[in-house]
Amino acid sequence: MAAMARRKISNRGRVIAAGLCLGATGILAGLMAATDDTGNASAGTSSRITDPASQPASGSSGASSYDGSFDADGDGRVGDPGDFSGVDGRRPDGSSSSGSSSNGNGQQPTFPQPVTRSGGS
Amino acid sequence: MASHSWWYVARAGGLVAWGLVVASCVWGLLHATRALGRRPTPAWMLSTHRYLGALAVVFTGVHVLGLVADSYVHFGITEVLLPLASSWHPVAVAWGIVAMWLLVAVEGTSLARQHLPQHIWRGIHLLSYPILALTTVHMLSSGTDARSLVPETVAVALGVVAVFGAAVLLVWRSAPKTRAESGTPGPPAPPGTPAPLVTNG
Repeated sequence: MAAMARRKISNRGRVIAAGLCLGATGILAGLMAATDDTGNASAGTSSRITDPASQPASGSSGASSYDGSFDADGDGRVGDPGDFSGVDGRRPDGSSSSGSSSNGNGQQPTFPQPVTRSGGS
Repeated sequence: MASHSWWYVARAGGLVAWGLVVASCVWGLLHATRALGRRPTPAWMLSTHRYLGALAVVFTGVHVLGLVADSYVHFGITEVLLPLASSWHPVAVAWGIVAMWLLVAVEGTSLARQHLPQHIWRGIHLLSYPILALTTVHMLSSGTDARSLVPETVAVALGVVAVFGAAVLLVWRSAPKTRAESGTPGPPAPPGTPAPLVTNG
């Protein structure tokens, strides 16, 4: 019987080999799910580049480290007329922060869009 | 996790299927060249080689079924069965589809070997080398995990081993064939010379 067992792969060997393959598939799938950044990865586990311009203009208080820098008027909104007003009350383009949001040419002023990294280090 | 489960199963099954194809080819080379000597026995080597090939087919099926069942990357029956039918990396996916059909041909002719002429079975069985190459190209070009799990250097090394093994196999097989074609039995082989190949693998 022992000689017969050496002539072919035993049933036990077949089960072990199949089990190893299934186990490897499961481990690989688990690793992929744990490290996946294409699916439903949360912001706290993935590093991503955030453009504040793409964020909602209101209700973003405390959501980004840029809020304190650009939300100069402290109203919790980024990019509104009160922002970018320094101590002299003027914007980077030289216009006043008070009154209309226009830069005098009838167009909305364009500001540099900061890019920050959030949600991980 | 639940929404992408089949996507992970498909990717993992594909990687395992590729590993089984590599293992089956290596096992077949070891069996044909008798590089391991008489232990393990040729019959055990052949049995294991065939079982690894069967497992490769099964896990290729897992790979394909996972892709069809998945809703993350939309693959239908047509896209997984016909080359260049998919819109997602069509050429890279086509390599895998061609390799899959060749694998089915090799496995099918091995199962029906008793009913096939030897030269036909052997010619189809030699498609195992293109299968190994195509699956490796498919994995490296379309696989989303290949570059992180299997560096390209490993794939190149496997290709070198496969080509070298095939060359050794051809040289090894040519020696007993030359003696047989001479019409007279050759002198007794000196100790240590590998025995003539059993062409049942």
